[in-house]
Amino acid sequence: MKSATLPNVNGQKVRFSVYWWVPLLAVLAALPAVFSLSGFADYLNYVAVRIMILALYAMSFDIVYGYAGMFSLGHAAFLGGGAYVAGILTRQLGLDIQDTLPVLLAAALFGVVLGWVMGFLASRLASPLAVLLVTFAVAETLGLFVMADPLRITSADNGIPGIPRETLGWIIGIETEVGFYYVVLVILSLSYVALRAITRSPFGDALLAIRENRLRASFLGYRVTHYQIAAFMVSGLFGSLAGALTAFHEQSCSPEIFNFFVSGDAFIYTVLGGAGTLFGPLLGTTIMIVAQEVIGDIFHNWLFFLGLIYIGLIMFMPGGLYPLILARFTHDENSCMQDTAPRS
Amino acid sequence: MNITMLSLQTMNGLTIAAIYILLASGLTIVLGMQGIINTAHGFFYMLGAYIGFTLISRTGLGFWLCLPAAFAVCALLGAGLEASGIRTLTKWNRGHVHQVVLTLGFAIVGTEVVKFIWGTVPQSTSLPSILRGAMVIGPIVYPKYWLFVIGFSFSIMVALWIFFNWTGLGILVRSIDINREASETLGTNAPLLTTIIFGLGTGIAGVAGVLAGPILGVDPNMGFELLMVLFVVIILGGLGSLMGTIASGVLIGLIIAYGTMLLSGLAAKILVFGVMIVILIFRPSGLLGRGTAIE
Repeated sequence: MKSATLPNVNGQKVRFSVYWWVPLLAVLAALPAVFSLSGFADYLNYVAVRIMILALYAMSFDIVYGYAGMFSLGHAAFLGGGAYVAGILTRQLGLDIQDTLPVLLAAALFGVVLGWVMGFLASRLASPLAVLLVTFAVAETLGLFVMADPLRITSADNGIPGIPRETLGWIIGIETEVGFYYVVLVILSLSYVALRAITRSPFGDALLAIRENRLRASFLGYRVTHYQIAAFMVSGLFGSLAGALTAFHEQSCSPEIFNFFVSGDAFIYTVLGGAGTLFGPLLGTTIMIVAQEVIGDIFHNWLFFLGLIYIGLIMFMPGGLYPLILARFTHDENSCMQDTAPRS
Repeated sequence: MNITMLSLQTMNGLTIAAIYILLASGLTIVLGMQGIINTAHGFFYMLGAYIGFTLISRTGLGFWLCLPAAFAVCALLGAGLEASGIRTLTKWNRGHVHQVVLTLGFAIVGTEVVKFIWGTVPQSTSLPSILRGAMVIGPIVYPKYWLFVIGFSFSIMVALWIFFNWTGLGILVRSIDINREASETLGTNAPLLTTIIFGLGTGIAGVAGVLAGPILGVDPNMGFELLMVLFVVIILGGLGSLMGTIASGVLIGLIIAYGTMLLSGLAAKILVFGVMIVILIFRPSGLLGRGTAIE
């Protein structure tokens, strides 16, 4: 049995003397203006929005992996499910939905339901490898359903092109890349605040206790399976929200979104930044997408480097960057969060 | 649907099953010993297929020399991966998921290297002249080579069964499987044996790749695609049980063959994953397994 010391990821000991998020938000809000000074503002905006959406996706993965300690290799099911909900509602059913808000809400709802299914399956299995396989199988099955298209709504391997993106809440125009940037920024910020509240609540503490020692947590009276299912449902909500945003961002969706590498990406983004923290996935996603854009541009062989990152991370830095940075700046031995990543 | 069609699909199912069984046996012995799922297994299968393709088409070496060559290369690479990476993680007291991620990273890098060397265009391997042509069995005419694959897979499984049950080395390996600490106390060199078994598993994957080349074609994605089905086979078969692996391999092979015939290729795959989910939920120890399939 591993020691059951709870890391200080809940911020009980790690305190910031400055409101670090104020300058961060200011910088993020100013970014489109900065981008517009360069010659390729559209591209930079596109990448920035992509980073924010995938950061939301990575944070949703972190709830399951970093907090609840279950390794899901099927997180693409949430992203892809959300994207396809958006695609089907706007393009395939003839509903003529002009606004993105109801679609986003529907995708989130879908994520909660799918999260329940996945959580139900995963919570029945004690072994981390079994959880890995069953989540993987769920994502794979969903992807195959989309490909097989038995209901004639997912248009098989063609994907769904031309997803409209006009307004949010019938007022805010998000047709332009910059408008969409601000909407995504607000959604990401609100999600961050919500997830922070969730993870710092007694519920979040219970998840950590289950992660550290499932058996002891159950002795303390926690219904382990209920908490695990709830973790998946929370994760599914934000994961599918990110999926719908992806569909609106790309204005299309294709079956590749269920690819197993997409699930793997969530893991890498989270672990690079620091699993078990909410800021970690943001940091990790930013680094990985920028690296992907730069390296992919220079070497045209991103997957090779991705594999090396997998190996290097898991061997030498399973705790992630953010805990290391924190430990450096707080000079507090207790706040050193090395190995906050689940050891399972 | 007539009897010819049915028996033809049955034979197809058995041929596919033979390849699944070969591959799954390598996976399942590693899973039994180390409790990890080697996600690089598909990579070794693909590498074996490319080694076979190159040796047959580019050099004069015969098909028969390819089998040991692919085995040697894949076994050495696999043993190297175990000795350098996985063993280190075990020493650092990391969990199994970390080891799985390590093999995954290795597989991704390896696949890119293969793409770099051989390109991404699918290739096909030619057959040795003795195995060309077809044979008449009852109502159907069937390719000789496919029959050979079934026979070869069967003999490898018999050899493995003899190894694990009747040789001193095999029994030592099983003792590690049952109780690693007790076995080490009695003087077994568990890390060395673990490396050897890992290499044996990946070597068999390489051989399976050579065999599958002429049937399924050779392309860089063949490994990852098959890996998913293999997961189902080993879970269905139960932990480290070779007999269980054979039974589940045949079952999955037939499900895919009949499913493809009656419904479609995609539907057959969905069926396979559905089977996997149901079994994980209701019988995590597998159909024939004694202990838990995965711990």
